[in-house]
Amino acid sequence: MSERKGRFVSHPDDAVAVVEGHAGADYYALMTEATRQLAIERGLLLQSDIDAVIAALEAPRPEWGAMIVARAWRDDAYRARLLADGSAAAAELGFRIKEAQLVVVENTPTLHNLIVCTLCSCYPRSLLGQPPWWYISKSYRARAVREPRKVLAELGLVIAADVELRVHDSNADMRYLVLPMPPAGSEALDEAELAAFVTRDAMVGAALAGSDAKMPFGRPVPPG
Amino acid sequence: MPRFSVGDRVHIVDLGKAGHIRIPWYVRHKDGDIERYCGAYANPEDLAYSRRDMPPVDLYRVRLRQIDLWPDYAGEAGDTLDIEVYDHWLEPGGSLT
Amino acid sequence: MSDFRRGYHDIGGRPAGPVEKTTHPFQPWQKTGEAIRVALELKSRLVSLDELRRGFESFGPELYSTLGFYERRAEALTALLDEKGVMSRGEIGARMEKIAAGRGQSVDFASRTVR
Repeated sequence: MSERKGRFVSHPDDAVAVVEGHAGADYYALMTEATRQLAIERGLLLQSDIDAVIAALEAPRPEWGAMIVARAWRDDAYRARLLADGSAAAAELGFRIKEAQLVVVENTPTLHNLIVCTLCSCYPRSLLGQPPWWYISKSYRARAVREPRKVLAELGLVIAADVELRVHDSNADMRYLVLPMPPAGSEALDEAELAAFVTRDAMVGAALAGSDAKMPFGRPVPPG
Repeated sequence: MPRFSVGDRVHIVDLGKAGHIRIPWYVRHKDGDIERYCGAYANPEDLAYSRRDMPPVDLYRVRLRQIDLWPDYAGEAGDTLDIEVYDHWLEPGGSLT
Repeated sequence: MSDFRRGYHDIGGRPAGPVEKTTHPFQPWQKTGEAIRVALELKSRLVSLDELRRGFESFGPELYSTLGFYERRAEALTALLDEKGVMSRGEIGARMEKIAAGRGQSVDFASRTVR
């Protein structure tokens, strides 16, 4: 099956709709508790091992990414380093991206970037925390690569026809962060003020910075 | 030395493998351009079966045109999609454009 | 109609319903489930992320379409621990019944419900 076929290859199942489904939460909560008890009783884990990982899962949050974005908006040399090597530039501010290499993609007046993971739900969790519900939904995973403009419109963002829309399917050893454009009229603000405009969704490409900056971020706190 | 350079035209093959694979169906048999070389990484096709000591494989980001991916693409002609692809899923591409 | 080489999890490009901008908090059991998997990997290299992915890519399309993200991961973790002989599905099930009984509940494994 390696010979070239025509320009388009039929995709079995492409006409079959994806089922969302959220069954069994109580059952799997109970399964998780049973697994936890057995792992501890058998000496596979200490409760403190689990607690340490939970603390590491709970610490990252969108404010960390917002600090990186705000720095890039105010410091051109940092912005250049960030786009060349996202992981190293994040580390400069004290953020270690543990799960993979961080790739930062920049929005411009002629280019808008959108992040998805069609195969599972890869996301820069060690920087931004857990992804939003819509990001891990099967609808987003299935549709963001094929009809990204329609999906963005459903999320409240219309991309102009003369702007290139570039989707990044995050499927292996890279994790992605969108560097949004700074909101108009923000030229006089300092980094901490700028960071308050940078929402989680803007760093995935599902919103513009400042357009729905409703999260009460306060002053970003660096990682402990 | 990585086999491909930035800008090279490549063809994403379908290895027809079973098991854990990170190359989605919709990009197989498609052509694109190398956007960047990402480095060499352990192959998920091995990691998924506890084979942790295999040699790393080269990973690239490939840029494809949406109108080449979907016959009914309803966006703009200039829209693109970037995706990571391991070296063994690529062959030199293209006479299509 | 299906091509056996296309995994049921490989959904990029398939039709699906609207993307809804609702939010759901990260539940304690979801955090614990993630933490057990990561801690077992950090401590004993027992369950890598790629193995977990293989887990939910091989438990079948019916379960995949019924379950949400964290439920799929919990199911895959049990399957992998069972496969590796770390703890069997039967042992986990017995402990689930014991915990449920202590709460005056019972487990229906066929329908994956607790009542």
